[in-house]
Amino acid sequence: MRNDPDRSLVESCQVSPPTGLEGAFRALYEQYKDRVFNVCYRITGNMTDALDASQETFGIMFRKIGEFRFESKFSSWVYRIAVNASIDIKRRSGARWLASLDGSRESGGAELPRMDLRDDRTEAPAAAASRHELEDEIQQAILRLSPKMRAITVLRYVESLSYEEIGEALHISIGTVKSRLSRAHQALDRELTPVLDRHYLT
Amino acid sequence: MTLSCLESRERLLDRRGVARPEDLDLLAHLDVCGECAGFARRTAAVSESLSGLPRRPAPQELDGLVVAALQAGHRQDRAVGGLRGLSRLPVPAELAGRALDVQPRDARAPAVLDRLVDEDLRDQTAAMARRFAGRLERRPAPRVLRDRLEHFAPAPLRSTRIRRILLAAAGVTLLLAAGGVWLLVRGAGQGGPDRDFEVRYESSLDALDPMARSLLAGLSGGLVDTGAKRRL
Repeated sequence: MRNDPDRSLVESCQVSPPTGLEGAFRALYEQYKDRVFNVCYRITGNMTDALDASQETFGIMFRKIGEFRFESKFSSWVYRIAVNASIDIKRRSGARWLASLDGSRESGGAELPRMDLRDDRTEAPAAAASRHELEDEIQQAILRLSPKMRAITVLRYVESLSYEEIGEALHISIGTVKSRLSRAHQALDRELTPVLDRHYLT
Repeated sequence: MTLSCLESRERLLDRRGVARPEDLDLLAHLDVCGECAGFARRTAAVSESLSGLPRRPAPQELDGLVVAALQAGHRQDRAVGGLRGLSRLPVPAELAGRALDVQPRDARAPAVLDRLVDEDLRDQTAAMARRFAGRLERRPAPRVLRDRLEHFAPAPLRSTRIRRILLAAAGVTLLLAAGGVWLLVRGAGQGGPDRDFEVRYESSLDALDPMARSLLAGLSGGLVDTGAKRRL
């Protein structure tokens, strides 16, 4: 991968390995932290797990950056780590959630993902509530997909990656990317079309 | 050239449901195929709803978490590096000799080693997790778990206890009944008064002779008595 925009920063990290969040590694972190967090948030569906997955992603990046050989784009490598960390954390927290069903029942389902209300000042309360409800339903539909299809959906539609970049990030062929996306789309179509119809007709 | 529905839908997925002006063949197909036009509308709506999700910027606390993780990783690396740098002590001659003595001459790797190494190389994390999970100490279930289960599911636990008691009672009753019959038979054999059997049909359990009823309770494992109590 000759024209990787992150090449010089990555090589700096390889020449003088980072000892903390500083120098070239800090620059890479600043460049990727929002993208990584966004992917982790959309795959795990909640802030706590997204934070854990992001932390793990940068921890792995820190430990393994010396071994990166530019066989793919650096960004694809980072996305791959973020996707795997998110799926892994989601699986673990799913097990934790099952183990603490009693607790969550008592707290009235406090584990459910929450959307923040940053834009509410600029729109009417009813419209904001409706928008949040729609966002929540879309996020829930994403979470109902299998981990593989969830990852591909987030990379394609939320991060707007091309088929080639998704293939590189997930280590799968473009044919597999297309077939998985098609299946994810079928599932999302089934789940979301009634939601969207209801939302835009009311 | 006209497109098939399958080709059109593949192209629509690539284009996120919106045909470009240069996609003349696709546009022509959408003009004549209502189903594909519907698919295009739905695909566009779903794609738009997904891409329209607000982006979540990383919260401030992530910086602190990452710094902590990196420091922990760095300390770990340093510790491992320190261990690797330790000088190796020479093995005392007598110990080395002893070790050679006990080593079997034709030591061969067991067949299972191939599989274990193969698994290890394929997925190191899973292999390591499996290895350590296998060494975990088995902990007995705490008393509080049983209390909780009794609290949440009293019926099955209690019914098991009742069933055991009933079974034991039925066994004792059966033994007593068998003893009674044996005494009767022995009494008859010793020239005692003749006893006739009488066949009576009873429509209610309550009308049964107490002896017959206890025999029936024994044979049915106590169910007859239980039924009678319920009716009361």
